[in-house]
Amino acid sequence: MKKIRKMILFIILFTSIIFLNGCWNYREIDDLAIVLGAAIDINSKDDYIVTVEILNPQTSGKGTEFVPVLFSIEGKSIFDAIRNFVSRTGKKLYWSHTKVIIICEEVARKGIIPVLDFVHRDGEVRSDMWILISKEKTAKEILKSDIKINNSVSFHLEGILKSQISIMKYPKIELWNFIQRFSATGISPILPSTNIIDYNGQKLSQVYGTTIFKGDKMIGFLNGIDTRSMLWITEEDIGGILVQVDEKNGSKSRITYEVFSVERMIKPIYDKGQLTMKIDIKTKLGVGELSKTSPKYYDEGTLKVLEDKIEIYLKDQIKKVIEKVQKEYQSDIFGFGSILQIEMPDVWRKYENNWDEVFSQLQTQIHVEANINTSALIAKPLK
Amino acid sequence: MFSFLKSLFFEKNETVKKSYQTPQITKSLKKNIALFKAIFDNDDTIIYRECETLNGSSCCLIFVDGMINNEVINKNVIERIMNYPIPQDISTNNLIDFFTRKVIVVDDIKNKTDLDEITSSILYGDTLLLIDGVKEGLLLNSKGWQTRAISEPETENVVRGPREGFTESMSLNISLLRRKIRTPQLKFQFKEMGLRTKTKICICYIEDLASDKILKEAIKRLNAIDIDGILESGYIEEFIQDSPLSLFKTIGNTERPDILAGKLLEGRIGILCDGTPFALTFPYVFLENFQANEDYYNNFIVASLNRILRYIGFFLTTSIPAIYLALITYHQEMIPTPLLLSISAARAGIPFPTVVETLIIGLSFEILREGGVRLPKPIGQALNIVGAIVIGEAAATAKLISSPMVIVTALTGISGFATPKMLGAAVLIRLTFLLLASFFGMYGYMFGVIGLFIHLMSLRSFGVPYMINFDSLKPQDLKDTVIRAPWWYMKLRPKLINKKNFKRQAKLQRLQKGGK
Repeated sequence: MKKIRKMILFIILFTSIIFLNGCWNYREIDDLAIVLGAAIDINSKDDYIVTVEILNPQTSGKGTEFVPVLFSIEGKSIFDAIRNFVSRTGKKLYWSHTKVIIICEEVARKGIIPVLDFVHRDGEVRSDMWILISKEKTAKEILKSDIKINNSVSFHLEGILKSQISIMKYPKIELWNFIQRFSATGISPILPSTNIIDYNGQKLSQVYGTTIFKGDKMIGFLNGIDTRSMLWITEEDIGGILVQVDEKNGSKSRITYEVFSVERMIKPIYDKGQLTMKIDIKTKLGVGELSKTSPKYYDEGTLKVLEDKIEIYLKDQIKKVIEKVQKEYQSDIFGFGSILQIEMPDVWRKYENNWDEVFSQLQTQIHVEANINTSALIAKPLK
Repeated sequence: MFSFLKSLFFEKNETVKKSYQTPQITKSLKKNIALFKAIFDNDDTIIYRECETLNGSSCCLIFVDGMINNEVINKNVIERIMNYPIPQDISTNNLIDFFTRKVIVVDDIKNKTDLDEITSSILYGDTLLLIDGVKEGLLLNSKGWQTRAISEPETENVVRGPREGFTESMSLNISLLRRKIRTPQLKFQFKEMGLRTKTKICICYIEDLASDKILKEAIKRLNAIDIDGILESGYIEEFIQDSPLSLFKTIGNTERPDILAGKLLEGRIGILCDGTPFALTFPYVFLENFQANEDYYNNFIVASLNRILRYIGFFLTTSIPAIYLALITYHQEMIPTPLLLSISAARAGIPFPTVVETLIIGLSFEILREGGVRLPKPIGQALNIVGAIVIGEAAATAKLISSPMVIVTALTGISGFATPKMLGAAVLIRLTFLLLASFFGMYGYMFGVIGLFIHLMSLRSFGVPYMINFDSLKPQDLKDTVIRAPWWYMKLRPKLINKKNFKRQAKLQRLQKGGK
């Protein structure tokens, strides 16, 4: 009797572990419509228009080719629109491999959170996909670009964002990163912006510049150079290049530096009611390219002059972007507030409620120290 | 449930009844001959050669045609009996002794009275000498049948290592083993098994290395065997192994004297069985499935790499179809996007669900393998071509199965051959994992793996845990597991298997720089 009871208990336990586990679904792989990218627009009735890019395999004599197909559909909400796809594609959309979500400017200006709520909530969607704001009228246009690498605009955009470190003219923000910045205090979220350019009569999508948010509402753009200066204050890994143009007696000399490493210290200073952010930047640079009339950098005196020049250049650039954001947008995209919160919690509590105002009046002290370490394979300028 | 299964498999074996009663040898030669003629009734291979000594007492030689060495019988027995002058006054009691000492020139002579023993000896190639008036028979060793020459075993090929393998003759096998280990501590104990086949088996071990307990247990289990015939050591293996319902072997077998010698030197016990080149070794533990004799002859780094490859091979052959199935039917998010797209494209238009697809191609691969094993070599090649073209090429082109599936099956099959000792077990494990994965995805597969480990951990071979050395992190325990440590590092014999004498080497013998 005891044995039988044990046996029954065992069977019950065993079967319950099988049925009591979470997401579990058998789906054949070829029944899935794999969404690579999605664009979200809004129509005049405030309904969402979702456009998805799906790769359709087509077998030819040589092998399989992938043809991107776009589907658009409207819905009262994002989820509604996504489910409405079933009536068009006959397959359920599969979101785990989505690379990019492009949101049009109009939606972003109205508030991006209603759009991202579904994306962030749903189990199938990954939080490491890229989010972009379209500068075009609709986000759909981006997906309709003619030129695409790897057969798909989504792959194309993903590639651009993945190699951001070597250009730094746009931020790369994954979904989780955006949500994190949105939920944190003392820092405003940003997103990269994308637009269409004309390339030999064909449409080509590019990522360039930053979209600035205040709360969940978009308020403006930064251009590429400003974005780079902004990222020097916020990013962990900084790469890219710097071009310095010198004008002397009407002839231009250009020196291009490659950025190897940047060490940054931001410290708030609170003195007699006056809040100042002290920004110390130490950077190691290498000479990447010289125009013909460049100086002979290899003697020590000239090197010092060059270093001084690039320090001033960097300082000006950073100062400019901080002032621009302070004046035009009053949105702390640099995260000064969060630094203050960590370094001086008491002071932060004082300013917490009207931080945006305080931010727009914030004084900054910028100090840049540049070291030119290397000149790649060539020791002297070519003559 | 288990007791029911047990009762199904282990019906109480009733003792096989002896088939005839045994009368005694008498003094009268005529009666004796009649006795043997009655025993060997209707058997024309038995030869009764009667002859007479110089002093007129008649003798009879009884032997089996073809089993004996004719030269020995002719020159050393018959000629001597006929020509040797025997003193007249010798009593019949001393006659046997006289024959043994002076007349017959054969290396091994026994005088026997037990009829059962005598008949089985005759049938094993001995010659029985009966002398008129003597109540005993003389058994002369005249074995001389044809044996297969020593050749390289086909199942255990080596690139480097001895090329000799056991044959079907046990005495030859013993000599092969004796030549490798020349110590009086190497013991051979004979046993006869099988009521009708009277198969000789030989337990061999090194006395000061092998565990007495294991030896006693083995002899106990061997003595319990009561069967009419033993044709191969596999019979004995099934009788004496622990957990006979398990897929995993707890008794090893080998065709190579060097492997057997190596195992004996580790304190294991071997069983040689007459009539088969396969010797048994025990205790046999899990990691022996991944060992090869060549590991010990080659550079230890290369050998370790090969071992690791075998472990990976075992993992692949048991798991790949299940993991593939789980990934593409349950966890598509785990596949890199480009791969997902190409698998999705390859699957487009396949009529069967992936499970069915996997089962079909897995089954056809197993049939091909099984079909190929026993085919003559020329036909086997044709089979390979048909298999490769039909399954690999045509089925994928005809969209019956997808091409990634072909790759999965090919990889599964190839990795299976990395551990030939587990081929059978691997097929069943693979199938179980596959079914679990088809019902519950990765979750089910993990259940299978856990179940497999629980099973492996619960196994024992003659009291030695099957997964020995996998539970330890001591370097001396791990020296011969996933890696093969250099010889000068293997200072101790494997623990638990050998109880008496752990020390294998004197000290660290590696030559230091500069030489010592």
